[in-house]
Amino acid sequence: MLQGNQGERVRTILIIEDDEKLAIALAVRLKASGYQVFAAYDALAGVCQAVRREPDLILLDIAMPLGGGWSVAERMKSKANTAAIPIIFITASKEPGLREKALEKYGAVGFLEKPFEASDLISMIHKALDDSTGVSSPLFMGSSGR
Amino acid sequence: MKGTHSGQTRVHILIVDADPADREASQRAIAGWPDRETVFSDVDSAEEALRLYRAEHPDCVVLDYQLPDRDGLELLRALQGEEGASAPLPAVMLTGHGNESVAAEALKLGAQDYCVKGRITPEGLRRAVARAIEKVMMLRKIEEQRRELESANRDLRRMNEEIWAWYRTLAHELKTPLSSARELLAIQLDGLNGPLTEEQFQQLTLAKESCNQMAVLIDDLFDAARLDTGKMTIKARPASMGDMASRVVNSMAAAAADKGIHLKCEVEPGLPRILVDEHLITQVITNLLNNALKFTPKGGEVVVTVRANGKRQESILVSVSDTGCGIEKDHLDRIFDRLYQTSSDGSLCNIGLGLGLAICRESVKLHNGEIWAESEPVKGSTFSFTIPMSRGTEQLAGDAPGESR
Repeated sequence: MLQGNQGERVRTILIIEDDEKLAIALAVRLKASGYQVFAAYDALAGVCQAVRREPDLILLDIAMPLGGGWSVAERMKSKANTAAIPIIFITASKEPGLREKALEKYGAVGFLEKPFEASDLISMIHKALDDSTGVSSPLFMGSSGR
Repeated sequence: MKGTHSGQTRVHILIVDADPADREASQRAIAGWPDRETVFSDVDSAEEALRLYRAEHPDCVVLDYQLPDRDGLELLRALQGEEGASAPLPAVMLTGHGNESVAAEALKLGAQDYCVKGRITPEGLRRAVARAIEKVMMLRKIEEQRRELESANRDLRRMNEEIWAWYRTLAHELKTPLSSARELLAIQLDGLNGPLTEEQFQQLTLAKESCNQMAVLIDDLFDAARLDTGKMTIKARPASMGDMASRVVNSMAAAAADKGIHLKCEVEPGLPRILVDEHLITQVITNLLNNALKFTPKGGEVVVTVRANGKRQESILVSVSDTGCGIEKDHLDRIFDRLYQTSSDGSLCNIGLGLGLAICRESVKLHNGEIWAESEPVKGSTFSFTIPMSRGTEQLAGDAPGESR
């Protein structure tokens, strides 16, 4: 099992995704890449876990019961200890404007439309977490960032 | 107006006049109406007239300008208040000689006609009343039909929105389980659960390809619904068709090489940038090229050409030629139709769901362009489309942020 660089703690990722099957698949994937993974299957449980565990990154579905991804992102922003957690939105929706909303309005570090290549997700996470340790530079031009 | 037992139509006339002799004269004139059974109410004040109008809804009001309580124009205003501002009033105004300004004002207030007392003949008054009734009936009928159309239109729009919402949900719901199935397969394929045998790897690869195919079909379905419900938007910006074609060709070069197909892109130099929706046009070229690669056998050739077109070079033409199995003439005209498939008699050429080409046609249409296919069985096919350089693009610039229907 990978443990990251020596002396560095294992990074934690919270998956908030109402399709349990996809959450399980992504958890397997992320664990294999050396992350510690937690999952929540609705927006409310997601907020509770995020506040309790303060993960290094949140993988966030948009359409979910009990609030949806946007509301989770808002709750994260409104609390001091979760406001800086980078968020990657994932969605099965093809509505126009979702990507812009995720990146610009909610300052997400990434946006992926399902189905996506796991390698795209992993490289997005690597980039986001490297950025949050070093001097951060915007991942996406045109994103408002934080 | 009501039908009666004698088969005649009954008309109810309200006569408003302070002078009993004039009321009598008006009644006599209108009562001579052939084929109509006339019923009269006569009153001598505006107040009484209004009360009766409310209670009995007469077919026509014949009113004198000079009334003891209010003048005729005020009565018309009150009647207008009863009927609603824009509704036609079944009223004929009687005025004194030389009082044309009153007449004009009466017409403005919604009266259908006016007659000058002392000059109008009995037949003249009767005709005026008949015309007024007929005209009001017609206007009411038109108004009723307009409302029916408006309501039908509203229903259709609402239904359209519901259908669009349903398709959006459908696409979302179909993709959700597909995404988890695909990712669980990818985990096996990437060896996260240990090494696979050659057979396992091959078969799981096929399963994952099926998932990818399904994802493309769901996207097609979504796009088709977007076209059908008029939700397609064009965001036109100046762009180079040559660059777009080159980018698509480059992105598929590896796939062509894998299949052993020789893929070329020929762009006429010096073409102007034109106003297009880059996303839509890129999708069109991608679809056409995908089809060409799909139906061209190993060792074949696919050429993408971009050049100026027309007598005055008024458009840019993009064509995708292949040396594939070709399409029979009977199919050529219908190949762009939604859900049209070539014969399923086991022939090698099957164009799938057929949504891809339908989407291409709609996208090109939205740009005021044309799309067509030429083919000879066995020798190959050429799919071409044109996008106008100037006239069409000016119109597009106006459409740019809105929705095309």
